[in-house]
Amino acid sequence: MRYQSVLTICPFCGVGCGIHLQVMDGAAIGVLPARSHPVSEGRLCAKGWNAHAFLHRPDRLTRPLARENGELKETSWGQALDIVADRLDKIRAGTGSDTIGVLSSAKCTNEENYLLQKLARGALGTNNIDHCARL
Amino acid sequence: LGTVCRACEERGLVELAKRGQVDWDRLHLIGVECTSEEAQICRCSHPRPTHAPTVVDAPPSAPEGGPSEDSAGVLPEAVEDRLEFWRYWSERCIKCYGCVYACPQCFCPACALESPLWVERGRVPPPFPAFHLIKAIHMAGRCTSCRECELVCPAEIPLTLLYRMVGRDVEDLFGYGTGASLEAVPPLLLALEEGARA
Repeated sequence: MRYQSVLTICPFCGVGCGIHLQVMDGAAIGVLPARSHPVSEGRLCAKGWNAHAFLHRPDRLTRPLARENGELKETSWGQALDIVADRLDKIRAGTGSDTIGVLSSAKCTNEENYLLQKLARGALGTNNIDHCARL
Repeated sequence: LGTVCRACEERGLVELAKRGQVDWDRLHLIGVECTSEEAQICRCSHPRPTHAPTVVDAPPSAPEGGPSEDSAGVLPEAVEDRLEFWRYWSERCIKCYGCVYACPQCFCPACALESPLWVERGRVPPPFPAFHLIKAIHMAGRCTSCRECELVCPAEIPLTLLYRMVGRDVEDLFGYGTGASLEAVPPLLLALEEGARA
């Protein structure tokens, strides 16, 4: 039995509270608030307290899936990205850029979110971009 | 198992032992006295461990029975004002359950506060005063004022004050000092045997 307390950042929203992940034999089993963290000062919201809960869920997506004849099948990242690029290209050519919307995530870093809006505005040509970090 | 503990944590271990959560005989307690300043911040009048065979003192350590544990100066006098006081704090609650998660005395596998029977799901702030009173009543004879709940509360609700008042009632009505002795039986465990104590 090996127990570790790993100081890290809550992955949920833009606040970035400090958490200690309680790790037992390599599996995250709980969260404790980090009192030394300058942002959260040892406090968390309901999501932060449960930040470990999704990590080992069996229904969590860990590999890209592509729908083939109505059925989801595991595929490679390269192939998945090809499919997405191809479809986005077709939509843009067919109904126009403004029929594309992009959803980003609070689980990304600021830099990743910046890059995604750059992709949306610069490459796809749409202002339809939003995210769930506006809590 | 060696455990470093403050006086409040030591009292908490006593209560956990009484409820079968720790094996008291397998614990080796290393008590740490709190300083006067620390005791003052916690409004603690019992800052010295009493059970631990090894005690690390913290000169100048806090006097027993020192700073007041009562609610004077924090809680309004009039009953209506007190109701408003607690309503104000309750409405700030974001229902993060931090007070439950952080509480060393909250070990029930099925928590009443997570049961839809007692607490409506998806309602923030939670119903006043039921939500906080359920926890407060469960803290009777359990809470030893370690203040973990208060320190993790993002809404800064003075939870320890609430639980202390319940603890004070338990002491006044049943003569039970929470965590004070290993022998005394907690009143809520006694209540299961009708007529065991008048």
